Amino acid sequence: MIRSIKKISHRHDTNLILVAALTVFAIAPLLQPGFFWGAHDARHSVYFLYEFDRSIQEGILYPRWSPDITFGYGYPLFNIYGPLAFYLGEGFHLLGLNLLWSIKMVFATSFVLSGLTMYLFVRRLMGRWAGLIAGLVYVYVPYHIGDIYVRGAFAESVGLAFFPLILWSFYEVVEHPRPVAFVAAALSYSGLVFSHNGLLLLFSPFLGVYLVFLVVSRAWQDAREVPSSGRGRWMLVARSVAKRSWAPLAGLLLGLGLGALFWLPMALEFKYVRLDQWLGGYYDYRDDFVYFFQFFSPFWGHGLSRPGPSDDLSFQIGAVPIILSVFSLAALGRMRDKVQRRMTLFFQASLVVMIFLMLSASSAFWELLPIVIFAQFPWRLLALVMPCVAFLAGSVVATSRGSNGERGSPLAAWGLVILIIFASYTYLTPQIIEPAEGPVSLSGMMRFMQSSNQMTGSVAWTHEIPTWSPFAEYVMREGEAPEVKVDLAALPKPRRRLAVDLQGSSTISQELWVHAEEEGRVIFDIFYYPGWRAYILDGLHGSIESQLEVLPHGSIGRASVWVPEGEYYLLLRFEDTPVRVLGQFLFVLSLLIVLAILGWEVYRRSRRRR
Amino acid sequence: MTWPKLCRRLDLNLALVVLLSVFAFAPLAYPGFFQSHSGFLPVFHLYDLEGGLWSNWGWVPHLAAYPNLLTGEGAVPYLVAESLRWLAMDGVQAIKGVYALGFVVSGLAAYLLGKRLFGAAGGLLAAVVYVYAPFHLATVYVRGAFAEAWAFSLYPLALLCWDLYLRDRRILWAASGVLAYAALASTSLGLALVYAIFIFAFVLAAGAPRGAKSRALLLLAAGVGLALALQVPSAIRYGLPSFSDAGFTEHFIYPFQLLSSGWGYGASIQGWKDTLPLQLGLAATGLTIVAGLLLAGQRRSIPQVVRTTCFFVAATAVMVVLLLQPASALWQASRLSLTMSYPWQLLSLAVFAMSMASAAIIRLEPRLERLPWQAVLVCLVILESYGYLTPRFTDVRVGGSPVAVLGDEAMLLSHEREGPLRHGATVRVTLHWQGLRPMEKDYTVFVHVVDEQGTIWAQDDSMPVGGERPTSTWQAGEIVEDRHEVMIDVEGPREGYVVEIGLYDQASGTRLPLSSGATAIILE
Repeated sequence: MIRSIKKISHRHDTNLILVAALTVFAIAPLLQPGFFWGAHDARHSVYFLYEFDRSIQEGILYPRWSPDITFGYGYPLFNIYGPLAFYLGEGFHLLGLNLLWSIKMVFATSFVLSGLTMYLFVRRLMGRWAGLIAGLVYVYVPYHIGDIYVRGAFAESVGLAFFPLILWSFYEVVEHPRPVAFVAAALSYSGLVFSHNGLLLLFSPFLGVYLVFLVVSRAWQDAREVPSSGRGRWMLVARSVAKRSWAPLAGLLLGLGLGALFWLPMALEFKYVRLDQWLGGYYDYRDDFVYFFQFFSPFWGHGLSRPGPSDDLSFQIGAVPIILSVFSLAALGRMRDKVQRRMTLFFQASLVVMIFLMLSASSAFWELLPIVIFAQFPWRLLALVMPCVAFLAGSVVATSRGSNGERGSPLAAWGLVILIIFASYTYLTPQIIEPAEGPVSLSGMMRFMQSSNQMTGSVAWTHEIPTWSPFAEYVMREGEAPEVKVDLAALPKPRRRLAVDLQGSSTISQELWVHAEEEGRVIFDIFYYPGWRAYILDGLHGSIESQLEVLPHGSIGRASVWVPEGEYYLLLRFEDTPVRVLGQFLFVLSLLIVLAILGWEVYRRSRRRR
Repeated sequence: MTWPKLCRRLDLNLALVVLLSVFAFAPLAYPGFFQSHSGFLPVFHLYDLEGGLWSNWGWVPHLAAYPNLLTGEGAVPYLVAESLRWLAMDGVQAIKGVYALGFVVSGLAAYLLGKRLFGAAGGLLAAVVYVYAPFHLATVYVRGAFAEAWAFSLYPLALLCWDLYLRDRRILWAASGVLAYAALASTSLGLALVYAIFIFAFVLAAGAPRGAKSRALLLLAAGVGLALALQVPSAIRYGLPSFSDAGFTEHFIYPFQLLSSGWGYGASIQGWKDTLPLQLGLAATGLTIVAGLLLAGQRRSIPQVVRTTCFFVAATAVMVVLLLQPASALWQASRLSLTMSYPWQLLSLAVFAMSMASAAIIRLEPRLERLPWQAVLVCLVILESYGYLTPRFTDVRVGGSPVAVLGDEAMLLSHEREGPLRHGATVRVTLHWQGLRPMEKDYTVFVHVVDEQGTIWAQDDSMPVGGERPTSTWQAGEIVEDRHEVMIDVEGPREGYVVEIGLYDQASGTRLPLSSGATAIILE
């Protein structure tokens, strides 16, 4: 029996299984009945997925428009918000889980995956025990737990699983520039692109610094391995930098190409939504710097961040992660492996810089880089602190690379495992409550939007943010969405001069029969946004005869169409703009390159095997 | 120079001690202050000292009560705070700075002593146990015992000097030891006198030649002599201490309290229902017991290590016994009860001894010297106290002195008035009170608007916070925000009013006198 266990553990990486198994305490609260509606973004996650599902069920494979947000005026949510978490959620939903369980499963998956990816990254550099410690620190660091159980940050939690993958794959690209590493780097970076805008904006500069560090330090090592002196050495360094830079740069570009489907329209069309709703008021980054003591405070709360030092949200880094990060200084002195040492140094320096950037003393930096303010909260940098402290925690039990004999101090590592989990155990308390607006439904969504003034995103043409709508009124009365989204009351009187009748509708289209005795305006109860196009069809569901101009109308900024005289079928449809088409093209092109590289790699390996 | 060499040369552990102390001192970075039993008193004491720094010979804190040289605070921590004032810190920042410095210096001193006795890894553990001892944290964040908090940094420093002098007869160690002891005595004379006994026992227990021991004891006598001599100016200024131990015997600790995980912010009271944390600390207790057990099983350890460990384990045991009621007779017979206000103040020496005993386990079990094990032990110690690091913060801003001290029971820290002092106007007054000690009576707050003749034209006489916080519920040092609203009678004169504020006993009608002798605070 013992022999067979030994055999299994020899053949398989038991620590990999352990990381996944020991995540059970983190995911256990997700397995209880009910939902943690007390989390800040719990409703957003559920109703965003609700909207996503509506589109997918209609066969829209890459939804960009969410039809029911803002009391039915709709919003280009997934055009500007990373959709990956919602694809995962939709996957679980299509497998038969309801929306709430789908969301909980995505959270659970993100916990497990983030632990595993961090384990694999650190194991590669510092051994299995270091990987185990790092993986568990990454899972149990208070910000990670708070992100899920306090903030209910659905998309962000998925993004966190990509950090270690990106760090690992780009490390491999620089150290061993192989096609697989190159593809892994591109895929992992694009995964982050599709996950969460804020994390992407914060992580990308960090990744840039990481790559410069990896390339330069590796080039320096290359140069030292060749006997030379003075100017000659500098030439060698420069040559090595050039040689080692192309692969990570190409990986980054390929990742951006894959992610262009999302980021290109997001970057160029973000300006068409009201930015003040994303960046002003509660989201003003100036109110969300962290006070130094908050990093080290055991305080745990389920409230919001607010100006001043009395936030009801915890910003602690975590006692055990900090202690182990401090001990990484001592570990540094005992490391013989140069790569381990320089990586540890890098993450130590990064940790200090991250902490500084969250303090109000760094406000000048935030002013200098206006794009970073899209990350909304400086304390979001705690997400970048996570990989730093996880790596540094692992370094305390690091073993030399390639040494199979030395096992470090397994008993001490187990002690640390217990302490890591124990330290965060009391924070694993989501607020399981009943939703005030009732069960998940369209009317529940309307009630939530009205009571909280949330999910009321508007477009750049909206001067007066709606607080209710005829659509919402209908939903509350009938329990379902009205099919017609035309403001019939706004049609010219008497009605027979311009009459419309709904012939068909979807989440992104309205097809109308129009009878116009004279020109007139048809106003839709839909926000105007680039991509809405109107056509005259040559029959019911017929082909396009001519295109009409869609214009924003009124203080709400609704889409309106100036219709000509006559009787015809009018189609209003949300379509791709040239930017979105370009994004799709780049995505497909990049995907083909990825497939080609992988295909070539498979072919090469099979040939070598033969 | 390579990194490992550099680490060895610079003793990286010193940096580790400072960094690992961060959880202890981080709450002091809160922009305001925290509510402890002493509240803002240390800040006011600092400003009081500063008022006549160069002519204040013999100054000791005396704002809330007449100073007792033996059991009261000394001037040294305030002088350290004053040095921080020269760095452009305000009073609150300077006091918090000294608390923070106290944590760091106590950690470093404990490390150096622990390193000397049990090696670097042991020193690191000793420092962490010492800094995070629950009583140490309570001394700062619950009691706000400014001088005692600073004394924590002087105990290991003084003992280190004595140990160095025992092994190496250099004048530098002798002078440093005497100075450290004198500084301790000028921080807290009573505790310093008790600590002299501790040093005495340490010297006797040390495995040093008899001559060295004699010299060390002579040095101790010199230290005590200098310490007492330094008290002369204070004695001349404030008189000799009152040799009284009234109430001392009512505050012995119940055994369960030593092992309780309870944490509260109340004052020490008679009986067993204190909410003041009086625990030894789970980690320190556990590690000391382990040290004792390892000691019992030792056959091959270095005799010096065994002897030193024995001393600290025994010292812990003795001090624990002295904290309990059965030791009452011993305290009184030895007159040591005169040196402290409460017997549980001895906990500071007990946790010092325990931190050193904890350090010994690394020497007695060398496997624990490995880095991952060190990390485990340090995590264990800090995690045990992590939850206690939540002081009760306050954003109240104060000036250089309290607005008024009423009796020796309460202070008015600050006040704000809204509305003009004109007839027919509504005046809102916000008062920030600080209790100086638990009060038995429920005093009534009066806010009177009077004219130049002393006629009252508006008044609000009520229990604080609309009756929600009677003064008998105020904890020592607690800051209570109390709002009052009055409307000045339209029949009164147009202008020329002042607001009179104070506290009185409703049963007798007697007002609490101010330190100036007046019975009301006048706001214009």
